[in-house]
Amino acid sequence: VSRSLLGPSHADYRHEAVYYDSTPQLVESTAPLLERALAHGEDVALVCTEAATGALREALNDHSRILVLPRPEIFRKAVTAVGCLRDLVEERLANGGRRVCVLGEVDFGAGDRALDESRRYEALLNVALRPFPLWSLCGYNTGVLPERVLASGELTHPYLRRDGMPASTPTILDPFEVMRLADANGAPVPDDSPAVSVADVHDLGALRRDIGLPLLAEGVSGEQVDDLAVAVHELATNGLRHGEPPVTVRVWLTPGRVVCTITDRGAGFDDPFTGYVRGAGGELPEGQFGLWLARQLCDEVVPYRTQEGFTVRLTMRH
Amino acid sequence: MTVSDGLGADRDSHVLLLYRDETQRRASVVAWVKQGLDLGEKVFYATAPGEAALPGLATGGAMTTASHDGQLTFVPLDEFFPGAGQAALVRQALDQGFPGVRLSAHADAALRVVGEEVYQAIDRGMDELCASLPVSALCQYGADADGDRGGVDARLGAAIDSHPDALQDARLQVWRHGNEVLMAGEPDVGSADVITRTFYRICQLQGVSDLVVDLSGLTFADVAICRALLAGTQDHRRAGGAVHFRGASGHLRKVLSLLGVPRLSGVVVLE
Repeated sequence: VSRSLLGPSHADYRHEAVYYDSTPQLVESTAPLLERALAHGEDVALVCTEAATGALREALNDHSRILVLPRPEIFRKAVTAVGCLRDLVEERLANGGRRVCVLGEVDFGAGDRALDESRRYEALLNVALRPFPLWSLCGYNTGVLPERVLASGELTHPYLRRDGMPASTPTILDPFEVMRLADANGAPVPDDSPAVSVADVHDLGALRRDIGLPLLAEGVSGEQVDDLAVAVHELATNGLRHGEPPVTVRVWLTPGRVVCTITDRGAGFDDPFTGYVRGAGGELPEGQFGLWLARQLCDEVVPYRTQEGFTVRLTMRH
Repeated sequence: MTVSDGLGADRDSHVLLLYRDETQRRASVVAWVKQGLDLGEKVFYATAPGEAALPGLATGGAMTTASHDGQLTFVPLDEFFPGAGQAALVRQALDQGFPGVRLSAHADAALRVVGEEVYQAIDRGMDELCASLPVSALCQYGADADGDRGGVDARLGAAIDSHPDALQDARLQVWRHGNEVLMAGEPDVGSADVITRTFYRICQLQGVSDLVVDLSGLTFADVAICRALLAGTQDHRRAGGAVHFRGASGHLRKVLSLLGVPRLSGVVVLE
């Protein structure tokens, strides 16, 4: 297992969960922490409900270094959330900032997806953002979040607060195992025969068109068809360039969901963080960008090994 | 000139045709030659050693007629390439009253026959002919057909360097007009190295002034192409020059934005 992403942690990196049962309790327990951060010259970012944002801004006298981020947009997916936080920290650092303290009321929706995405989010914070001067205060609302999400939060944070007080911290789960748990839980490939099947991809332009037409006929929006076509193109390109031929693509249309697999005969990769983390620096570094883009464009991207070889499964809700 | 006019529509262009297989080469060359014949121009086609003639040209009905009318002439490569050979052919044709002249030859065969240095001198002569007279040239180059990898070796690099104004491969067309570059097609990773080299060369010629890249003719471009555009212009941007990308389709703009391209220094992505 590659642990290449586990670089040294930044001295000012801290990942902490805050359990609360009401907005007033969240404000009461976090306002003093945020106040101290501001006093130390740090930036504060709020990814909270409107009520909590309003109350915190008031408690912090509308300090000029408070940034409010759009919560539904940020918590759309784990990869989006982590990407936004990283961009924010890099942008603040480039502009002379010190540390960014982010208070985010975690909310990835309901059902299995909420559990999987919150697991991924916390694992990514533990691994991908540890080289940055970031203090992430992850808000877990015990009155709102599913029990499984609350339980998972206790096992993914090195630091924990309850009722405003530091609580004892259990040993956190290995982030690599957390990512694998989330991936193993994803939507399976349908049993019926696929709507599109390309056994041996050679012409990527033809592949994009082969995928697009049946999806458009099914009523999937043009933008989502373009998103999926780009994702499939990138993963088929990876299969052709880094894997073993033949590269096979299959697409299933189910009510409200498109599932697609891209399979090559190579060994693929085993690192569950592959393609989640953009390379460092301003320019686009070589490698993993296709998978990274696919993760941005699709609802779920899960790589796994099969008897056939190596498969990446894409899911898009429509 | 607009994207839909296609390569060669600009009479004074000096185009590098990169082909990966014979089907692609023949289709592109035949289209280019036919365009010249339709315009009443004189077309000189240099045949490489061992190449009888271009099959698509010799057998097509319209082409045969044209050939009989004296519009199309096949010239052996070794007669075509020594020094001032082409200039003499051009003047002769223009004296005969043809409104324009087209010249096509295998750049890779020529590179093998005369060597890189002589070839580049000849190519500069071709640039001058295209710039000063109603002449266009199509230089064919068989890029290494190594699957879809599309690498650029030293010889292909030299060919790209000497054709900064117009380039075509199976999925891509690039033209340069002053400080503006137009791109068309649906290029993917197979064209990435070619794009990097092409833009590197264009930026070398550009100096530090800003470059405008019109992407409106691209119906698709993948991550490798976005990266190639950045890699090819990196030195230019680091030296203080800017690159303005304009005309990208809605989806390409979305991809560029997700990749963080608009945030890079020296990059402007226009609506």
